[in-house]
Amino acid sequence: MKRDLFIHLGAIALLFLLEILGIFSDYHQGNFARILVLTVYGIGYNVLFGYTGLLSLGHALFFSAGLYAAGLSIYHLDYNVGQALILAFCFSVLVSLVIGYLALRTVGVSFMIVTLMFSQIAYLCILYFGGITRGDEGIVIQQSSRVFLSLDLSDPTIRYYSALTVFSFCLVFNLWIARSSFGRVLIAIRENSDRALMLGYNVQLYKLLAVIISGTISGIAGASYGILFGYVGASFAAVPYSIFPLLWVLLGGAGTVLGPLIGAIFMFYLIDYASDVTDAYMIIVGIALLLVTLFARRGLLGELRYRFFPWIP
Amino acid sequence: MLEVSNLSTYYSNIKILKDISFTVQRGEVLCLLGRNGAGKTTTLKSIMGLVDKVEGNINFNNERISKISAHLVPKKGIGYVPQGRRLFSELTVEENLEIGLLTRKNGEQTINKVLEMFPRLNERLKQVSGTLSGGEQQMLALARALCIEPTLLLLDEPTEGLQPSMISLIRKSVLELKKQGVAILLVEQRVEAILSIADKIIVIENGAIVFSSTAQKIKNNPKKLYRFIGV
Repeated sequence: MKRDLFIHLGAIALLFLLEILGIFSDYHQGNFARILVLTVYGIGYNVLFGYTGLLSLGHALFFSAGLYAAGLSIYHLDYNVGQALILAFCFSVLVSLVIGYLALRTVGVSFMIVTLMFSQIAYLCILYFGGITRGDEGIVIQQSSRVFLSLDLSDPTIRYYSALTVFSFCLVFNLWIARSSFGRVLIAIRENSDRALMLGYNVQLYKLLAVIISGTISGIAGASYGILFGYVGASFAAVPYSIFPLLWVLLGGAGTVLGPLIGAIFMFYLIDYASDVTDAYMIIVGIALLLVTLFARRGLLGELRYRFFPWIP
Repeated sequence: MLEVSNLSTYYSNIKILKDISFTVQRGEVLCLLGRNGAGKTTTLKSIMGLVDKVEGNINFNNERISKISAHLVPKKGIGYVPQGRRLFSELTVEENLEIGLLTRKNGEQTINKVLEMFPRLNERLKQVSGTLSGGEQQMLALARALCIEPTLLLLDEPTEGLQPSMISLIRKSVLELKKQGVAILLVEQRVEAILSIADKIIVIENGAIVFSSTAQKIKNNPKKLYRFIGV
């Protein structure tokens, strides 16, 4: 087995083992279930930003597309979890296709602004159509609706394994992309899109595919979050949720498969422990982020790859 | 093979190339000479479809390519090595070559053939291309363009900034390609770099052709050429 495959499958196995061996306390088990789902969101973001070099400031749109497609279909249409997931998947593909097609008419800073604007439109729509979405208040998905293949997804242990399963699929998919010729073309576009064009690649089409893959993974993360944690709210469509995946990816290492996981764990626990110390925890978080930026500007895993392990995908 | 007729190119509304016409045949090396800003690189970019507004005709193997999308041009068999190499610096030598291949079948065979031409790259397959020396980067840029098995190769100042041993290696490769029947359109600023390999020479000034001749005639009477390029 190649060493990069070994490391990534090893990371998944370790996360299974931590639960099987009962090493997690209830508190950390809940935290990690949340981190794993949010990491899936980070993986989606990383495909677009880390591999293709397109910086989106509106990814909360894709996350909330999956979140609301799953949540509203369960709440209003009595869909079961399987049906809700399929709908969320299809809706995420459609939203990514449309937004990608429109936003990719711009480049650079304009792309950032356009994606931000689209995401703000979605956020305001969620608030405006409060009769359906329940606006700021959000929707609570009842425990009885969160059953999949006779498994109660609200049970903390089942929730953890479910989050880990979704995470594992997305991580392996991301690894496949990173090792495939498709992934190399994305990297080539990130490095020099003109050059990729000169080699005969339809750069615009590859970028669109990257938006669709990225948006769909983000949508799957949103749907999983709503179903596993039972809450669908407008705050997930707001600007901070577009910034979080950027931070996780930057902290962990843009363009590395495990980077989003490392970034999400780091950020989550940094906030958690800092808020124990002081109410002004964001000062500590800010200083820590500053230090990481100064001394590991490629992110934690990105720096390790640059210095010691250039084979890490 | 390549037939450029009355080519005019615009950046915004400014006319950069003015009614340029020339042809390049199979196994022929045509050299474009001229000062900085004369329009040499713009000519290559126009052929590759990388310029928005182009007038006139560019035909390749009797097919009009001046109106097709830029990503389709290499698929017609035209390779381009731009000035400054422009490698994918975070990818390895091997990955850079594979990227060049992806639109063609028989990949491994093609790469092996290209590596035979540049054995030094064979020793550095797993090395990240950004860490190669300038000469090796130029070799890789050329090798990558050859991975699409071009029948026409556009080279933009391939010897710029290289040490003499590398220059002679690049020159040898160009001659080898010429022998294999590849048509080559070569942009250079230095006359001495091209006299031994060019068949035809064109001098561009302010976007227009001001002089054209065969290399043989120039060799016999180089003063004619020097008058235009001010050496």
